[in-house]
Amino acid sequence: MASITLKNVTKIYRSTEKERGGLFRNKKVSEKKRDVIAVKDFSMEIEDKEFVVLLGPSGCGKSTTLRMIAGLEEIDGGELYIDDVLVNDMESKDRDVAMVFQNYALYPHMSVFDNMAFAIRKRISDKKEVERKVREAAEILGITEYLNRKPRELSGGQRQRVAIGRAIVRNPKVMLMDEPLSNLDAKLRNQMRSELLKLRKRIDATFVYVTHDQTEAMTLGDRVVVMKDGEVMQIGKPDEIYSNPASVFVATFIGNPQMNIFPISAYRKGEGYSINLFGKELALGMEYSSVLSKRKESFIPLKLGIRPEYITLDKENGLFSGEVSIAEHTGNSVIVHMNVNGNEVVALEEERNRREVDYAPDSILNFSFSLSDVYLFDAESGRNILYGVDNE
Amino acid sequence: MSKSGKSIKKRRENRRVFFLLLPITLFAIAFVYFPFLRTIVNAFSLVNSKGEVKGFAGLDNFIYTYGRKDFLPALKHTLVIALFNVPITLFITLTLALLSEKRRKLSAVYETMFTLPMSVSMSAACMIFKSMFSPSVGFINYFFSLKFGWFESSDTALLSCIILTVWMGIGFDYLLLLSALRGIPKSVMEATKVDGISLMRRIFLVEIPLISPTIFYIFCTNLVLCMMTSAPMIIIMGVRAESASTNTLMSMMYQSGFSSSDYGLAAVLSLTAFVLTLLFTILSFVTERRRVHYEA
Repeated sequence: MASITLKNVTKIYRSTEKERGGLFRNKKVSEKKRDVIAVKDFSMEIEDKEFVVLLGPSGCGKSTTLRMIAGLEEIDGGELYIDDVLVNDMESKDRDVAMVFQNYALYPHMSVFDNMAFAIRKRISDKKEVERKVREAAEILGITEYLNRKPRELSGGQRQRVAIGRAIVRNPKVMLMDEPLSNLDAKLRNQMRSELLKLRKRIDATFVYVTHDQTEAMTLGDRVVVMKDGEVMQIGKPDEIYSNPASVFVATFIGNPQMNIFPISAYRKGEGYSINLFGKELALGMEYSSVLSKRKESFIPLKLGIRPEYITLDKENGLFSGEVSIAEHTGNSVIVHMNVNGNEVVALEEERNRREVDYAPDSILNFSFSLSDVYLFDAESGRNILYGVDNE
Repeated sequence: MSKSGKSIKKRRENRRVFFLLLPITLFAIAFVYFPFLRTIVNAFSLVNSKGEVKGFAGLDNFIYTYGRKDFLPALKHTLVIALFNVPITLFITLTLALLSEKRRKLSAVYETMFTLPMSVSMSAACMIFKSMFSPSVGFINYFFSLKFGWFESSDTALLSCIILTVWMGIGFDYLLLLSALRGIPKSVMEATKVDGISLMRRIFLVEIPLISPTIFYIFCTNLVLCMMTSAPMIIIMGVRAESASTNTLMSMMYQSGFSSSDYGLAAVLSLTAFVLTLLFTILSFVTERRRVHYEA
C-alpha cells in the first residue's frame, strides 16, 4: 500500500563557518561559505512492503535520507513520493510514517503503555480500542508485563521493543528505523535482529532501515542500498551485493573479514589478457578480454580482489606461499594473516575444513584460489570492470 | 614503609582539603551561621539598643511582635507577594522560553533581551521603576496617558512592587527554563513530530513534564526570595504613610533593626520569615514527589 519513490533527492547543508579568535583577540572575521552535500541525487523506487536497508559508514548520508523520508529534514533537490503523492513539502505528521530512533526516544515520564498509546489517543476516541491495540503490539513484542513500568526501569533491549511497539500501534504505511540496534550489546543485537525478521512478516508496512552493520543489512534487507559520501554506490539484493559488487568500496565494505585487494596490471598475452600476481603470471578468462580490449594502454592498471573465504590454505600444495603473521581463532573459523612479498593476504578457513596446517606465526603456508572467484576493478575509478557487462 | 608513606600522603591530602575549605567556612560562619544563631538568641532575649543581650526574655518578644498593629499587614503583604509573584514569574518565563526554544537567526538578540534583567542590581532596578512609574515624568503614565501615582497610592503600591520583583526574576528563570527545554533530547521532540502530536499536547504532556525539575527548582527559589522581599519597600517606599500598604516581614525587620534598633523585634520577624519559608519548602518537597519527574 505504500511505495516510496525518490527522484534525485538531494540534501545540502549550507554552513557558514565563522573563524574568529575570541572577542578581542582577532577582530577580523572571515566567513567561509561551505556547502556540504549530505545526499546527492538519490534515486530509487521502493516497492510496497519492501524492506530496504540503507548501509554505509558514518557520515555517508544514510540517516539524512531516512530523515528526509520522515519529514524531519528538508529536501533541497529532487522529489520524494509516498504512494505517488509528492511529499516534499508535506509535514511529517501527514505522511503516515513511524520512526524508531537509535536512542529509542521514549517519553521518559510516561509508562510503557502511555508511550505506546500517546500517538493514537488523539486519533482513536474509543479507549478500549486504544488499549486493545497497545496490548496487541505488546504481545507481539513480548513486553506485556512491562506495560506499567517507566522506560528507566527497562533494559536497552526492552526499551527498543517499546520504541518499536510505539511505531507499530500506529499501523503506519512506512516504518523508518534509524540504527535501532546500535545501542544494544552484540548478543542482544543478534536476538533482536532475528525478532525483527519475524516481526516484519506480521506488519503491513514498507520498511526503510538504516544501519552501518553489514550483517543487519544482509539478513534483514530485501534490497540493500550501499552509500558513501552522500552517493549511492549500489542498490541490489544482499547476495547480489556480496557476489557482484559494483566497486572496490562495496566489495570491501561488505564481507568480513574484508576482501583482499592487490594492485596489479593486465597486459595482452596471446589471445587474451594476463596479469602478474606475486610473481606468477595468470591468464584471465575470456569474459575479461572484450572489456579490456577497449582500453588502449598496454599495461592496464587494475585492482584485484579476492574474498578471504575463497582462499584455500594448504601445507604443501598451492599457487602461492606466504609467511603467517597472525592467526585469529574465532571458534568456528580461523582468520590467517599472511605476508606475501610485502602484501598482506587474509584468508578465512573454517575450522572443520582445516587440513593439517600450522598457523603459528612465521611458518610458511601455501595457498591458492580460483581465478573465477576473483574480482577486477579499475584502478582509478574503483569500478568493477565486469559490473553491468553481463546485462548488455 | 609503604603504609606510612600512604598515611603521609593522606594526611597531606587532608590538609589540602582543610585549607581549601577554610575561606568559605570562615565566611559562612561569620555571615551565615553566627548571625543565624545570634538571631535565635536575640529572639528570646532582652536586647538593648546597642545590640547587647541583657537577659532572658522568654516569649516576650514574640508576644510583643505578634501583638503589633503592623505585624499582620506585613505578614499578609509577604504572602500576597509570594502568592502572585511565583506563578506569574513562572508563567511569563515559561512562555518566553517556549517561544524562543527553537534556535533562529535572531535568537541571540532576544535571548539577551530576556535575560537582561539579570544584569541589573536590585537597587538600580528600584530606581528605574521609581522613575518609570513616577506620576509626573514616568514613562508608564506617559504611555498610557495617565497621571497616576503607582507607588504613591496605597491601592497600587503593592501591585507595583510585585511587578518590579517579577521583572527582576525573569532573566535568570528564563535562562534556566530555556536551557532545560533545549536539553530535552532532540530525538524525543522529533518523535512527537513524526507521531503527529499537537502543539498543546507536546507542550503540556511532554515538554513541561520533562523540565519539571527545573520548574520545581524555580518554584522553590522564587518562594524563598519572595519571603525575603524588602528592597522595593525600603528603597522606593521609604518611610511614609503609604509604606504601610507594602510593608513586608523583611522590610519591617529592616526598619526595626537598623532604624529603630529594636533587635528583639527584628529577630522575631526574621525567625518568623525563616520558619514560614522552611514550611513552604518542606511542603513543596512533599508535593514534588508526585509531580516532578527526574530522568533516570
